[in-house]
Amino acid sequence: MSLPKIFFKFSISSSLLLGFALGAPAQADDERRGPTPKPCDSYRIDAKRSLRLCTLQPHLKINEDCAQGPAKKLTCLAFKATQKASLFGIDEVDTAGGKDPGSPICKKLAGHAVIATDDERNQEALCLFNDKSAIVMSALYYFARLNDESP
Amino acid sequence: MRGRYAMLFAMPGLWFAMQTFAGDCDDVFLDMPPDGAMSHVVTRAQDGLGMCYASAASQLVDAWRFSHGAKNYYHQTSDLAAAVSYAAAAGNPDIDGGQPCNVANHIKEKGSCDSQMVNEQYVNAEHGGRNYLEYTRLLKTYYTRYHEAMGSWYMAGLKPATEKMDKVQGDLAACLSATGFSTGMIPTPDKIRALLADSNPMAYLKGLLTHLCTGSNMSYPTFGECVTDVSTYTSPSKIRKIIDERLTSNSSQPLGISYCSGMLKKGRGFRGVHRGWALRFSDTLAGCGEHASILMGRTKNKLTGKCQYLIRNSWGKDCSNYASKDWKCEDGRGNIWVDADELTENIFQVQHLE
Repeated sequence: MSLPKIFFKFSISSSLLLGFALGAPAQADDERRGPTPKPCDSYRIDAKRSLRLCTLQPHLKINEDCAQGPAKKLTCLAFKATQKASLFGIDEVDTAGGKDPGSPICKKLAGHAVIATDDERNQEALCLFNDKSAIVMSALYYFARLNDESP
Repeated sequence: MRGRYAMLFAMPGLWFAMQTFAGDCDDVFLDMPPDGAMSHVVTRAQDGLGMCYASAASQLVDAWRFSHGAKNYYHQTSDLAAAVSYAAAAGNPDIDGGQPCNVANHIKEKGSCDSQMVNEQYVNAEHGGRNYLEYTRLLKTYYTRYHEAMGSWYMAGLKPATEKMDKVQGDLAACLSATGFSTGMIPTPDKIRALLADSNPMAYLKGLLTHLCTGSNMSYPTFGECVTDVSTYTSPSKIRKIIDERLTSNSSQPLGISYCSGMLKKGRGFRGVHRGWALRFSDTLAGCGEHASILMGRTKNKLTGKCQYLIRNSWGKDCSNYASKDWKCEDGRGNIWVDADELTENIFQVQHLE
């Protein structure tokens, strides 16, 4: 039993189309992926002040010079803030609606909020501390949840 | 052998079925360069201010500007300046909460003020160790003190406490001088007195910001109008239809959405909008967390097969804010993918520019 040539041509073209159809979502995903997020970003606060923040641990985007000494020990106030961060005692008004949930935690820990911009002018809310260390606002919310959930 | 032939016969049908099914959720990425309307619109951070509605409005305006010929991508609309200016014009005592279209239409009328300049000169300026939220409260206390001094005349049948008023004016001038504001940005003494005497506290704050929003710091967009499409009386399926039609229309502009931020924290199954025609006091349920963002994309999730929408939120680029593991956040961009059907259940308004 042999099949006509036209059948094979049709099957081959169908297979190619199927491959294209299956490949299409993967292509779209690649298209969206874009450049991998950089481990470090430079942020401008104003004409005189800028900071370089790096992701030193998962969810910990903090000023890179917070890591001191050969052991790269984290000693700055911004890091200490992640250990103290908590949602307990935060006024509901400060987290109502669409407000950044990290902001009231920064205030509670005696930090100062600024809205900084990266090299592409994207904005990031940062929490600054008296020793000039800084952390991204959302990291404070992440660690507050983590601290509150841990026994 | 027969099985292999059957598979070959089945392929065209399978391909056809996939294409038909995928047609309901074709990819739309409005943030993709070079032509995406959102490709030049930066990620916003609203921090602790309740001005998500102004962030959404500013991004709608900027997307429209950049996809209609504006080439100065450095000028991104200041959500704070827009929120304060609108609140002053509307007689609102605060900037917490509002409607995106009200602000977008206000920007069209009054102009768009440059965001970086406002953030650097006002938000991030060093105000004697205070952050800008505290600084704004401090400015309002000067206003309150001034009005108390003015009011004593009416209360006690006495002369206005002009000495006290002069003192407040002098204190405010000194406070402004002590900030990181450049000299040209500080109002003159006469202007300060006029601002303090204004009956609306937001008009007074706007007056202080107005010194930043002039000349080359301004841009004047020329869109038609911002229109709100749906309400809580619109069914989720109808909302989804409206969104899909607008996302795939020729103009391909992003949409503003007013929705419950609770779904970003709680994930699938969260419901925060009071649907239907029953009599009620509020459109949203407790825990909704009324919020506004931008909707700027659509794709089918390869793992779940569900259609998802892409939200551009205003909580900065980092993804650590998103408590729910149901949603995929694109780290470094401030974007988050959520199921289309879950989002539309939690939407109570959709806005677009015409």
